[in-house]
Amino acid sequence: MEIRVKKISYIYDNKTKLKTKALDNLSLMIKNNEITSFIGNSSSGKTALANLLALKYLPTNGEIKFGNITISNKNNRSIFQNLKKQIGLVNPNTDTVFWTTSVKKEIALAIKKSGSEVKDKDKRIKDSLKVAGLGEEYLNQNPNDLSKGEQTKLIIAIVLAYNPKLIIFDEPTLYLDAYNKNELVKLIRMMKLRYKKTVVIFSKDTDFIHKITDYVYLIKDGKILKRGDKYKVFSNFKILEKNNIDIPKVMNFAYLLQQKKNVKMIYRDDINDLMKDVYRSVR
Amino acid sequence: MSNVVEIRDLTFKYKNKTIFENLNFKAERYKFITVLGANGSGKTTLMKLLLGEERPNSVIMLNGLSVVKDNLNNLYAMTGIVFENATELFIMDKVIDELTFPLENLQFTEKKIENNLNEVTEKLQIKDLLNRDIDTLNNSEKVLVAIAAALVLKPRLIIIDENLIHLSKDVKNRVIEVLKEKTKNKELSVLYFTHNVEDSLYADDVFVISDKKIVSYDTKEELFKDEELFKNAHLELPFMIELSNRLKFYDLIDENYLDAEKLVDDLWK
Repeated sequence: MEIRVKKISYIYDNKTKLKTKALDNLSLMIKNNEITSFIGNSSSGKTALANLLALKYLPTNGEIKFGNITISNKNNRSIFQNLKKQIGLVNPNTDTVFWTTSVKKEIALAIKKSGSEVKDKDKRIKDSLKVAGLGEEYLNQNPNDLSKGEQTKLIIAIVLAYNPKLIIFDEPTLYLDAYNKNELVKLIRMMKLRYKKTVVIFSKDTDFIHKITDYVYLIKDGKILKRGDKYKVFSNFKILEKNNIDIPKVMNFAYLLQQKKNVKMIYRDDINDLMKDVYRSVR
Repeated sequence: MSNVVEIRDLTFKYKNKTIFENLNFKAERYKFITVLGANGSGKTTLMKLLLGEERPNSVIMLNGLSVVKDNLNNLYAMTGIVFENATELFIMDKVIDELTFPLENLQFTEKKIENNLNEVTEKLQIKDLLNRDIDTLNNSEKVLVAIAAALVLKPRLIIIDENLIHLSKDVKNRVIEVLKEKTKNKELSVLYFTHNVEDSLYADDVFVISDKKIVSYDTKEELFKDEELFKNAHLELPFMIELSNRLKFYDLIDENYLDAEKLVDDLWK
């Protein structure tokens, strides 16, 4: 699913008189079957954009085109009910409310709400749980009793169960340990390569983003500061530093080397690549 | 009396599932202590036990007091707690009220309230936030306020559950610096529970929850040599250790480096 965001603004209507402009005349494109990421600090507008792409909010101004369906605040809701089924949102950091008393019922409810037709529902529920990294022993547990890490995986299972074309992750790694983070890396790769999903990730975990993304947008105060493939954005150390964003650790080491010793490394993906470059340079 | 936590031979079951088995945990006072644990390792359960919310089968000592019902009021008075969901627990609208409300409740004098507030405000640099509505803060600011609210009581111990992960980079560095300064001045002990192994690098002591127990070594340098432990605990090694291990394999260095700058200096002489 290709997405074109055209000149959108979004203003939070707080209960107080203060109105906050979260997004400011933003235009961008998200390519079909690619992994697109947004990095930026708190208050950059990441969460507002995630919720707009997930159709939780409507833009204050401007429009978003999902394929050939255009969404703006002039739409009536019936237009995007169908579109909603095609979009999944994984947002473990929101005060998630689960509606039912068991993991099984929770996933079944999500399938029902999405209106997607599933032949063998029980099998579907078990399979999605398994792919998300939770065993069958979770089926009868109460979602509200689970830890934040387990809840993250449950939300992923829910999204997998109704099989949308576009999957949006808002800070997915916050509560995941290294093992589960690596599992998520594998899962997102599989979503892209095998299931041809379009994946959008919002996160300040740049190590994670650096591992998997195709394209990166750096946003600040609701505007795009920098865009490009990951090598372009993550090698722009100055702009990352200035905007208080963690440089991915592999890149950070290369940066340090360049600054201190004027040794240049080729930009690569992981610690093994870095090792090869270091070995060559030192020997 | 010099330990901030002391647990001996704790076995704990929750709904017939053994969470801890013969767990021993002894940590010194006035240190920044990071307790590493993977998802589902029992971090939150351990916190509950320390706070007297679950009943253990053995004695748990916190700051020299045993965690039993009669001592809870005393314990809470000297312990600042930042729960994982701290940002959902605010009770006041304004930041300044959130910070002073507990002090007023404890009937601190006006002068003392002002002093405590000023110190925290200055150290954490949150003057701009004081008159804001909590509703309008971003996540990082909310967690910063939760930490301020714990510190304003001048506790002797602060327990933090995962929360530093929400802070933006500069704020996180500032918070760590303030907490470390307080431990150096022997005003505070810090217990930080997290899954983020990089957060062990700046800690004085590091503990790992693995296989229903807590493991530690005399120094964290020794701890990082136990690759097997990290593997069993479902944790990665910190980046600098991973890199050091590979460099050692190629005979480029002999020892683990925690400091990237030093490594670069030694390698590219």
